[in-house]
Amino acid sequence: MTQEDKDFEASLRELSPAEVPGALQSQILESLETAYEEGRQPTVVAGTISKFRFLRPLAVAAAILIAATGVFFAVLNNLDTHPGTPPGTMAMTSNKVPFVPVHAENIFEGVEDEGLFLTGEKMPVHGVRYRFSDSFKWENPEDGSIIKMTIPSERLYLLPVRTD
Amino acid sequence: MNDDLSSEWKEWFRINGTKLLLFARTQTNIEADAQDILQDAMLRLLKSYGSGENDKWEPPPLPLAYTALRHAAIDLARKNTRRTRREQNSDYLVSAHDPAGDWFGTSTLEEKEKSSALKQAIGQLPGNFRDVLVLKIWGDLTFSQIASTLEIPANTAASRYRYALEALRKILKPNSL
Repeated sequence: MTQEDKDFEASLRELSPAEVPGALQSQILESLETAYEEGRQPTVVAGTISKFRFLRPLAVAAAILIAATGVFFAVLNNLDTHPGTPPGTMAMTSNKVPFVPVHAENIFEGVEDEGLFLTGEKMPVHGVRYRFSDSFKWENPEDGSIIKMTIPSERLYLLPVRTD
Repeated sequence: MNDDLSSEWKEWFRINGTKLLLFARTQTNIEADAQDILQDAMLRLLKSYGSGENDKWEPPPLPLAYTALRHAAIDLARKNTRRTRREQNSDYLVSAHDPAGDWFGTSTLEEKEKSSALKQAIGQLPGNFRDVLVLKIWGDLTFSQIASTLEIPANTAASRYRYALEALRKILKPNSL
């Protein structure tokens, strides 16, 4: 850096940032105290992370439920089907196989900023929560009756924040 | 309220609040938004960095505070974009941006002129230059800390700083600080 740069830098440093307005300072300190008193800070943060961990088995259970439902209807569809019949035509050709899976969809519903968290290792991370809605539809080709299932799901991504 | 939290966080904010507010002001052209993101960032920091373990409530490191401010500013910008879109779609009248407050402490007329010229000059800098300059000169961060805060390599931070100084000097030349 040249001497000219250093002089210019020094001239910039002569000006210091303006004071925080008294009203704003009071408001911020008050909101911090309120947040602390309401117990919405660390314990909630820790709870949020553990809640996410708690939700993981639920997500697995939901996935198993979806899979089991699919298998159930698949088995239902194949009960009286001739072994040599291709799966795609089984439901349509058998009179006793009522429901055929006709639609499956994963809809993105939105994303939410969960703010900054600390992990157990004190590493700051930025949480981003994605919400989805998974829907499935089965139809009885004989009478046109329909079964619909919609299951909400969400995924929380914790992005590390570098602070060194 | 815990005395440690009260005294340490208040003292920390008293020392660093001016720098944080200046950085917040450079992230938005609207004074009210700058104040909002400062408050939002402080609450996020308390929620994320304050720890109930052993009843310790240490204030956060300064670079983390700047990171929280950046995230709050980004979130606000997203919300404002959506709001503006809604308002335009609803034939709302979008009011003109209100002028930002005084960025620097001044006591004399000469300092006020300097402050005003500097504020305008900083506003003309590209955002990536401006952030590095403000964090280095008035934010008390090292290049390494700036690099972490802005998620860029340290060499990039240093070169942006040099370019920012050069650009700022050219803008201010007629006013010569």
